[in-house]
Amino acid sequence: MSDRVRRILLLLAVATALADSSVVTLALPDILRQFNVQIGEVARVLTSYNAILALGAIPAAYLARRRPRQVLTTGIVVFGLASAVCGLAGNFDLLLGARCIQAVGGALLITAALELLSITDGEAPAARSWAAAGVAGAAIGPAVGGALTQLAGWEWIFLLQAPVALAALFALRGRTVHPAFRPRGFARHPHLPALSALTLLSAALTAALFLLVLLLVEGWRLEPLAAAVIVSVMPAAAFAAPRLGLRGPVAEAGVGSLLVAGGLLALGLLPGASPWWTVPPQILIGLGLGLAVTALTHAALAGRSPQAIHGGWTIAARHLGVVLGLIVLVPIFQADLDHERNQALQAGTAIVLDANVSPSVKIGVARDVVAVVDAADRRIPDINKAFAHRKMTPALEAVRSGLLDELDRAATHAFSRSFLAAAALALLSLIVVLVGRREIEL
Amino acid sequence: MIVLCALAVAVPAAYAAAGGGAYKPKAVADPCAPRPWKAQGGVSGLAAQLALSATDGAACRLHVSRESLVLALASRADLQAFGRAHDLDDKQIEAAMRDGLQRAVDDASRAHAIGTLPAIILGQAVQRLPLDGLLRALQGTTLNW
Repeated sequence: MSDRVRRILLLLAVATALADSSVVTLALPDILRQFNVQIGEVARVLTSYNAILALGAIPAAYLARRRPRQVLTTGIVVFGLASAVCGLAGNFDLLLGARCIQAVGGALLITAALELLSITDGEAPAARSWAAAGVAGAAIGPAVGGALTQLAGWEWIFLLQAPVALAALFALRGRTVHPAFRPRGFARHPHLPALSALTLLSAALTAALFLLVLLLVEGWRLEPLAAAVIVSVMPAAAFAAPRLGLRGPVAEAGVGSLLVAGGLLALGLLPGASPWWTVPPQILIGLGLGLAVTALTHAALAGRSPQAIHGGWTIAARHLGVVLGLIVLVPIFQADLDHERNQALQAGTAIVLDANVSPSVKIGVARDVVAVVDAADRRIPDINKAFAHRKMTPALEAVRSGLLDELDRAATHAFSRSFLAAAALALLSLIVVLVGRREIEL
Repeated sequence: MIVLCALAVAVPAAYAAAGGGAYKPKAVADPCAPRPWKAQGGVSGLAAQLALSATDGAACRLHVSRESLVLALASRADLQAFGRAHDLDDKQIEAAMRDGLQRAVDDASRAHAIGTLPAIILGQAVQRLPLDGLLRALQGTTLNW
């Protein structure tokens, strides 16, 4: 097996483990329905993985530093097997438990892969390809997860991860590692400005990677596949970011943070419920993600040794950021969803009351709408069901479209403050980059 | 770099200019403001308009929206929950509903939807019906939410 193929297999496993923090986003509504849990509970599928990865990255890096090959093998096997258990989980608790073990495997895999790549390829090229794999994984995750959810079911997200991860074992076959020849950088302490900015930026990106997807699928009732196509704009923009020709980590990280803030601000000010409105903000966020996350990861690794440990710090910072984002943004979103639900209920009631239809039809529609709202159990109801068995007249069609419009407005507005809060986090990241610019430039 | 920074500012600014901040559920009408009388034909149409006008009147007296009162009229339990949420006791709700029904009768009379004698009889009934009877009057005639 050539070195190139070995490298690709390893980086694919790294990207898969890092994609796992966001890959299930589009599957959350299906998981929520299958296991009959609330939004707050289902978010634990994301938070558990990210929290364990954040906590486990540094210890895993120390282990990887001692025995990179063994740690990588263990990480791949644990991650692969836990992924398979996630895919086959028959209840929510088992899924959560398997997600935690998957994160432990992920932490071992990601940090040991960096250590191994540093030994075989040299530190700078290894850091570059490893950081790029991380950005690609995070950016592609939601789109791939959405496509798999609709085409095969959410379980296949996990079931397909297992062979992708286990394939990386082939990269280790017949490979000898000589830890004695490891190059050494000049700094040992973690790069605090870069790591702080990375944490804040990852917290902000949580809104783009998780909440945008929820808005498309749960709020605007898009099929997961359609939502996957829409959110693929973000990774496409992230891949285009290096071609922008910005020079220097401060410029890349600063402009990237500003682009993410601008994109999130635009998402918080959506003027309509069409998915097309999300495209320009996604381009900004994707470009920002590609520029800033890569630049900050490079800055945190450049000239620092051991690479695995500093890589572990970047993983811890990123996933701590994701957890921070979920902790800050989900309660805002849930409170706003309750408020907007009430507003939409009142606006919808006004539409039915003022409708130009006979009183008996009003009563029937009102009963059906209330039944659909009650059945939705604090989630966004599918109003079309209330009209499914009715002979539609122009007046009734006006009621239906009026109710759908109010729902779209309520769903969009329910996400608004969360996106604005996320934009504020991205601006904080920009401030950290500007304050720590000298250290980042080094 | 300047182009990217400009884009980061221009896109949200354009969204705000396109009405982004105002894209939210429409505000419901003030129940105290007069509404046109638009009864459809037949007794049920008249009853529906009477009930709408009555809920407007009651909601105006209670300082709540017509829609939230209609949602509260779904059942006795919903009405009690509504009372607790707005710190209103049964007497206050009853008085508001009597006011609302009286306003509906007056509105109907002014719009010549009912004659003078029926208006007087309905007005007397409104003043004498117990709370549950008022509730049934509103629920039964139009919107059994």
